[in-house]
Amino acid sequence: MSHAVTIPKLGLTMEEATLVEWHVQDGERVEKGQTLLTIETEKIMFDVEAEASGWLQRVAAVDSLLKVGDLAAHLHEAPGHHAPSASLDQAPPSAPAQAPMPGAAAPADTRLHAASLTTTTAGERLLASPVARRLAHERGIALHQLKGSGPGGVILKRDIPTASVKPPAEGLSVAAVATQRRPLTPMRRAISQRMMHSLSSTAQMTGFGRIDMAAVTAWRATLLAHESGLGVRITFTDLVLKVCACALLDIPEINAYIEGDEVVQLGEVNIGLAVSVDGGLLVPVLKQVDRLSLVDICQARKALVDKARASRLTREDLEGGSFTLSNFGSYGGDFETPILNSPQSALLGIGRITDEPVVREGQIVIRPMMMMSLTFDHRLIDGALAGRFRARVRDLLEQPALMAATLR
Amino acid sequence: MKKTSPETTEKETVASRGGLSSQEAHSLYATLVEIRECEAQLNAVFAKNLFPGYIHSYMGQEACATGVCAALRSDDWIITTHRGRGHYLAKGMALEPMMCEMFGRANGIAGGRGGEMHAADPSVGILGGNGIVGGGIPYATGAAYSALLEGSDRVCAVFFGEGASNQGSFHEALNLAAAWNLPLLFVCENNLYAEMTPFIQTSRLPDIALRAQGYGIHGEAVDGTDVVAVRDAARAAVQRARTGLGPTLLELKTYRYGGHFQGDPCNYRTREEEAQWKERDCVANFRARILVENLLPLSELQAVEASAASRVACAIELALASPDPEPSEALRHVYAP
Amino acid sequence: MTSKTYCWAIIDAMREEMERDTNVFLIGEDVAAAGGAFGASRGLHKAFGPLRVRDTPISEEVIVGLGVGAAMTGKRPIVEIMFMDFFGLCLDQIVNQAAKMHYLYQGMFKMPLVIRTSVATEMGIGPHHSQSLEAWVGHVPGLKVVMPSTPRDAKGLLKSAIRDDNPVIFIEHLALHKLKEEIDDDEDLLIPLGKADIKRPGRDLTVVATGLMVGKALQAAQTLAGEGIEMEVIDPRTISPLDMDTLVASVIRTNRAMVVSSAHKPFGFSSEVAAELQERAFFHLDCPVRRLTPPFTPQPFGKGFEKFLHPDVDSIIKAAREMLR
Repeated sequence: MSHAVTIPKLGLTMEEATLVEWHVQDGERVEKGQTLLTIETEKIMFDVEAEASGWLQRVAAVDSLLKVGDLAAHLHEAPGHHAPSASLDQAPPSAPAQAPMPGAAAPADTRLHAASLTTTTAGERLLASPVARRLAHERGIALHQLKGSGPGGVILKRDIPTASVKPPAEGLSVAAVATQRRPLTPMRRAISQRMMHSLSSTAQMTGFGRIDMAAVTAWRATLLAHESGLGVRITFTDLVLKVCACALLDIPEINAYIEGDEVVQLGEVNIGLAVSVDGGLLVPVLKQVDRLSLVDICQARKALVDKARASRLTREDLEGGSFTLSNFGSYGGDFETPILNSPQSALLGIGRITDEPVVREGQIVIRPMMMMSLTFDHRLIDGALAGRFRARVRDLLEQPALMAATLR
Repeated sequence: MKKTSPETTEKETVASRGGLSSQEAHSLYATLVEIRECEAQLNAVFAKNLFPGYIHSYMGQEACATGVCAALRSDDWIITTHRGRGHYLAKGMALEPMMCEMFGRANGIAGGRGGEMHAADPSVGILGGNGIVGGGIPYATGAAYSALLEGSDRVCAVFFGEGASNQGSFHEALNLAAAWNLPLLFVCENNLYAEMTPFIQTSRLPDIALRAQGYGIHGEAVDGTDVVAVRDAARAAVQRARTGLGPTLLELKTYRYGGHFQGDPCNYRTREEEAQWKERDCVANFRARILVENLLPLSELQAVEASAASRVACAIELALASPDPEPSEALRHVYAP
Repeated sequence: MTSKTYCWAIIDAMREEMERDTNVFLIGEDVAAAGGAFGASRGLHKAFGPLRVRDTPISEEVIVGLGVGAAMTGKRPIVEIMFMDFFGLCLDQIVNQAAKMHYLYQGMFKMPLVIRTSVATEMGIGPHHSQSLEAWVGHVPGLKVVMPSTPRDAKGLLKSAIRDDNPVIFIEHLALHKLKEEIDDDEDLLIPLGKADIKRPGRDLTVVATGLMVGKALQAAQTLAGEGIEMEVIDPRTISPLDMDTLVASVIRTNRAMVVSSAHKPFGFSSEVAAELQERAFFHLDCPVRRLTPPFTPQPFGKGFEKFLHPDVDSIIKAAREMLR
């Protein structure tokens, strides 16, 4: 049972009042007779006192115009309908210190079973994990204000901010957006560690090139026209993967890396493909691309991308790469300075294909142009070698017939 | 303990069968009477609804426990069944702690935790009763093996009913004991009814002693109502075991007066059969023999009887007056420290 | 330090304990002359003679029974039941006799009995030689149940089991026999019963694994580390009494738990752990406790079937990723 705090009739003609100020925090304990809020009528300012003791749940906001008898707040018999302000003041430094001892969990935490913790204000059941509920409770955070990131929208531990969310300052008509903090997901942590490791352990440099993709476009068009016969829809990425594999066979010094005091020359041409997934990035590896047909490459690529998106990649799928391809064009990029996929020594990024004016034989013509960005480890690969590799890639892309010369 | 020579002891045993001195007569009679009193008085207590749980009466079979235990030393072991009171007393368990255990009291020999079917006293070689028919037979081989390992001439006697002779455990234990030549007495008290079913309906051969042949060991059927005959057969078996000649299967033909448990209406046997066996009552007949052979005066017999009656009555009174165990004691002794 | 296999670690444990205490002896089918059906008692018959290492008939009930009686009369027997699948033949002596002697008789008897047995899941031997039945004996108060997954654990736990005055069921896995580990020759290696071992620390997910599953969990952990997921792998080592304190402390750190077991889920070890964790660490769980076990079927003959039926490294990886979404 709770006690309703309503706007009192202060005079015979009084019909309404403005709520000017709250004197008690939401969720705070109130004693009978304590001043709760101040209202202003046409004539006077008046302090409304609590007619009972209990825990306050504010309903009306400051500056709202209320009629006599309107509900301003509830006074509840038990805490927990809103976060008790006591924990807001304490500002716990870290979660583990607040964790109840296992044996003591049962009696101390029974108040978490209060129905209102599990329901939204509309009375639906809120889905939140046990640890999320406990932390929300300890940090004074209302669960229904949070969005769950778990399966089915469950609120998980990572959704609970480490510091309590400050309510918007009183009196502002437009609520300011509060700063929020949340812990790193394991995938994000892994990516950040890998990136820092890569940058700090290699001497990375990026060289760029511009490629006329007319021949490739025509090549692809031919393949698309025969899609039903081939059984697959070959993409630009598939073609570039094959070209990279040929170039790596031609210039094998790129297919190597430094480990300690040795250069490890890899026998296989295994190319990783950067795949964007929910929450981050994965780089599954196509094995022995030099020995795969375009159809094989297309099928292998699709299988790996599907697995990556379904979180079903195996250990083998992620290991053994000697080179990586990243397609920024897929998100509208032109050229970038990609970060190497350690321990590899080179990574090729390709951008969008866009029609651009270029000069051919003294004339300005429109050609489908694409930028390539080759990041390489300068400890192993000098600028000249990198340039030769880019040139080889460009030659093969602009004149794909050259690949037939070494076709077996 | 020194081992005695096999040949001389076999001859001695045969020669001394049936022999009975006054001293031996007194000792045997005192045990018989103590057990009989115990069973009789407990039946009365049960009838007055003062006994917790089942009573499995040993009345009628007293000569079996008495005779076999008379052939054993204090450092020999016995293992018995759910109907073990006679064996506990015959092997030397003290009357009061035994009685308190029967009533499940805190001062029972097992703290009231075992009750009627589970009392033990390692100080006199009693390795417990059992709630599982035939459950004790396998682990008798273990006690016997301990004797082999330590190089002593201790033996183990395991008691069981004819019903247990149809359990797999009986076969496995007899086979192993025979193969390993273990110092064991397998003592089968054939009271003709396994629980409530006549034995002859559950086994093709009514004589269990014959099974010994199947294992290559010595088997003997004995009149279980004749305490001296039981003692003599047990002595022979014990000597066999002590001298490294291996196990014996003794079948003691006997009869229990009560049902499988007290309150059993015994619809599975006739009143005539019960009357016939009562004529061969082991206590009464032995009493008669003592008087006929002039081994002890009547007054001494009466003194033994009176003493048993009063000691048993006191023990029961003590048990009835003793406290129940503290319920929280149930949490202790699950594991040895 | 010497590199020892799991099998030799077991032999060494028995030999050391038999040298130390003349009351220790070993019986079972084929343990003496043949050195054990799986070679786990090679050399002992020669070293200790025919009374202390003895071949029995095929009589599981009296094999255990002899152990019970000898333990009650001052000896420290080790009895071997070849496959745990055979426990049905001797359960009375284990459950009604061995487990209860000390309790029933108020401590008058100790039961320093070790029952060594083998589990052969995933070895394709067939339905009567492929069950992991630790739940049967874990459910009986008075028994202790141990399940080592490494050579060092096997040696240390077996020595402790032999010195324990309680009946201990010591469960070996045949597929682990060839596993090798460095063991200190000089050390009188005693690993306490009832103490779990964190085989690999981690902060994202607690994985409780036993027997053959420990190695698989460790391999899965290695792969997942490459994706930034740090699994904590804990081997309870003793099934009963179970070291729940270590498991609970871990879940308080990681907020997520998975149990991987060769035994079925219904009424099994994994269910026991899950129930205990939800009871003791409920307010620390970020998702339900997951149990990864074979489905509820007998094991048909053949490795193809067994591979399909049992959790493997990839299924552990998959489950872990799902739990961390």
